[in-house]
Amino acid sequence: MGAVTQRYATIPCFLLALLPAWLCAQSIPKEIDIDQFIQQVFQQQSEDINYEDAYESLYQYYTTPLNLNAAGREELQNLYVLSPLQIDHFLKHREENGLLLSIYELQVIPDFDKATFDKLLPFVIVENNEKPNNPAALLREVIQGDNTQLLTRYGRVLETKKGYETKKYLGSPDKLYLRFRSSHSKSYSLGFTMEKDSGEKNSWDPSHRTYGADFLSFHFALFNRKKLKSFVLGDYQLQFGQGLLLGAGYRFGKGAEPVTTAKRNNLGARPYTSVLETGYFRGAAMTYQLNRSIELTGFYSGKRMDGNTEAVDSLFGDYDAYVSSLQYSGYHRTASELGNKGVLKERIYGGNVSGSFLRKRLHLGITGLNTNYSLPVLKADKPYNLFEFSGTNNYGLGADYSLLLHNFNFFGEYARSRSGGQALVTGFISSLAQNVDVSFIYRNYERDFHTFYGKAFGENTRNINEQGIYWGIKIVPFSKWTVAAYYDRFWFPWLKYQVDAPSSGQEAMVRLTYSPAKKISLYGQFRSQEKAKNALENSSHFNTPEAAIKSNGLLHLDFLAGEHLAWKSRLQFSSYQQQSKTSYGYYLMQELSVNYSGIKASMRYALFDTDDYDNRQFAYEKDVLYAFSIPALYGKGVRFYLLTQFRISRNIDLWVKYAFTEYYNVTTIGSGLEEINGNRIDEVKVQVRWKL
Amino acid sequence: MQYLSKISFLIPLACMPLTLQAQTDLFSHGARASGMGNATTVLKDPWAAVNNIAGIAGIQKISFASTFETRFGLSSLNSGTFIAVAPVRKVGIGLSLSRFGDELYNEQAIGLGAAHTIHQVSLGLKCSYFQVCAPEMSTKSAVILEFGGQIEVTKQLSFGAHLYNASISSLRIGGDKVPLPMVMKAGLGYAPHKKLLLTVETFKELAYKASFRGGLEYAVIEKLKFRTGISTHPLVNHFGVGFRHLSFSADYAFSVQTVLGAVNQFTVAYQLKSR
Repeated sequence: MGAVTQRYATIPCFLLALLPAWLCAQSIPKEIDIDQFIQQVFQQQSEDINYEDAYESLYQYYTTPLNLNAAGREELQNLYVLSPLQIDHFLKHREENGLLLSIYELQVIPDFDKATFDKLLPFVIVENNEKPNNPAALLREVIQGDNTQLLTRYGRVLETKKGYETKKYLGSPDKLYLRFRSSHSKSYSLGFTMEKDSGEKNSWDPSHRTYGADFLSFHFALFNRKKLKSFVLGDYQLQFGQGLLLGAGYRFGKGAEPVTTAKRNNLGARPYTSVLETGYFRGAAMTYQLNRSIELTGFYSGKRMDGNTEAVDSLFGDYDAYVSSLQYSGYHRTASELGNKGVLKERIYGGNVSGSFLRKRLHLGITGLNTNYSLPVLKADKPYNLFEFSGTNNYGLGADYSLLLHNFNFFGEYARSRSGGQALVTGFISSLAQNVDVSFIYRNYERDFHTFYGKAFGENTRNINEQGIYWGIKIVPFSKWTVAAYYDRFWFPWLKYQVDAPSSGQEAMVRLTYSPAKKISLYGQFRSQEKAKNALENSSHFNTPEAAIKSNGLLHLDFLAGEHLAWKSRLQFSSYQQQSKTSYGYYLMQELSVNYSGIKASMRYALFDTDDYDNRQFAYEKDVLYAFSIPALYGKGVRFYLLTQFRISRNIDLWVKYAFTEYYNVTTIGSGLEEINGNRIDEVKVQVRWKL
Repeated sequence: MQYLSKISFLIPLACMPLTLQAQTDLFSHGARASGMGNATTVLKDPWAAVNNIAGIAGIQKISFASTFETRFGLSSLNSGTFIAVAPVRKVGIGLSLSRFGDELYNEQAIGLGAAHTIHQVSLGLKCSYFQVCAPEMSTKSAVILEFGGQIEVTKQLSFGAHLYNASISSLRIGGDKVPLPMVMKAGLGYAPHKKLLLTVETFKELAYKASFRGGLEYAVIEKLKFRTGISTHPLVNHFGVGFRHLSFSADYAFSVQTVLGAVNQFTVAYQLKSR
């Protein structure tokens, strides 16, 4: 009773003091915040990250905010906004003072400054809701819930690519996408997706495993029904431990948030709604809460994968053919791509046991999974493939932990695959002082460790043949200034593609941010990476790898003027040096965003100039909701886009994006079937969303 | 015919060496700009009408100015520009008239632009009619669109960006499309107090390597200012001085590059008293 009356005494004062400020804050367009946030968290130059999934995940919190009264440590860490110290203080506050009454109560918590609050605001909420507990209530929620939406998207490149002129692309150049989703985070999720890439054909063709659309995805999930923590039927993804055996679709990699993104969090089974036609499971998964401390998860997946098959020689006995390479692009445009569609059947089953002990300070988990292929997989007979997986069966068994000791959060995972190859990733994140956060990761993935769905921390995109140590640090030396940096040292004990010897390398990044006011952010970043690559001589069979140094820098300004206007300006420059030859890249862009009475528009103009493909410039672009645009620009040219969003009615939103890239002094763009005659490529995207 | 093909090379390729720095065009941009290494995207003065149209947004009084530039002692490379700026309600309007060259080859442009400030952001738009004349060729012309923006980030820090030839305009010469320079520049300005201004800028013309510039302006006494600057690609040193008395001002700038020589620019301006 005493605690409650004490709280009632403090809250009104805060409300009175803060109300006017928050009223202003709330009207700042949220879309701009999430873009800025994503740019902050994502690594500057990388094409392999499943941005769509990460965006989806963050967007899920944005549209169905995380309930601070029910959130655990891992869920808070998953927002990547709060430092370990802030999370500690928050949980302590909630434990000592009971559930939060309102979001403004965050201001009472030590170390929760205004900047943190602003970054957190779009993703969280404070509520004490009841979830629907019977089928009737659930159905009502699906029909009436805020979060039922249908989205359709159309996209097209206006110029004709060679693949259409030569009729090698079997389908039309239109890119179609349809998505239905009804969900309430913590309660249920239902959705389906249909998609067709440019050049693909929508048809009913069971022999090529096409049933209407080229890509179909469906899921139905229930959460928190008494002892059933989650149940997913359809397409899903799994994330346990540090993601060594089961890492969900996205991975932030090394980026400008060097501390919070170092630790992965146990997310269990979640619906998969991306259209990246790879990296997910199809079947069923269930997590059962055995008691207050222990959870059991079991899952099964059976799906088909695309692959290049070769006729067999006598080696494999029972089989007609083997798969020489798996295809992950998801493209089925030409007859040969279509012929590779779904040739390999994959069956996976496995489980996880997770427990929290010592008042949630210690988490332990054990994961196991077994994978079977219908055809043997055998990679090309090259020296760098010597220790790669081959055969029809792989299993992995591993254990993970997470331990809170004083202000250190230790974590790690160990796993072993059927081949006998082992892998270990372990480290810690910590708030050493009120304004200093650090992270450290050690990893050792043996050259014969095979994990198909692992996405743990590393330099390579797959967790194999890598050892490394990583330090990350974030300091707030004075108010308004932030310094973030990381250093990574890595070794590759065996050969790699285009690296004909064991090699090593290192990478360092520093980012300095100055934020004189909430609406203004000015930052500069420099990153340099040294990695070995085969030297370009043709003389011998074994090329000697030489160190190649890739450096890039950027300067960025984000400015919000009032509520209706935002300006973004960015300068990027890079250099690539190998064998005493250096080449450069440059990118300069200006982007203006306006927001006025239901209409939002963003316009960007950029000039780029790179000497070669190694210096290609990536610049994250705004795009229609759920779509991602991070074009790689190389050569000399102009990039322009105009993105508009209209609120047609309370329930209907319309997006239109028009973009073009015009190259200087070239007569064709692209190569092979993607080639375009001319020096310009124009693209249009239209999207409509109905909120039901 | 040989002369004609020479002309078609002249416009895009020759902009750079003829003005001693990568430039949007061959015209003069004011002695203040030249004295400060041409790091001018953040400047707010009447000459912003040709440097970054957003800079005329806050103009309070009607001004006229004229500049004349001689290059390397060759009279065929002389150029001159006349500008007039005025505030019309809350919008700054600017007019510019420029000329370069002699009877054998000359370029002219007339442009009109407007700029407005919303909160701390100034946005401007300019439209110019650009023309090239040479004896063996009919007059070629194009319309060039420019966008400019400036932001007062803090009381001491300002940002500016300018996009020249947003319309990607080109000239049709003998069946070929000769692209006019496509330029984007962005820069920061730091003014710790009223007497001192430091500017830095990156200048990117699509056809060439990016160049960087820095400029400094110091008011020794209220009426007298000294300027200096450096620009790269090619490497040029700049010096300038400006004098102001009541409604009149006069500026002089001198820039020098090791191989090509020196460029002199002299500017006079008159500001009407506000009513």
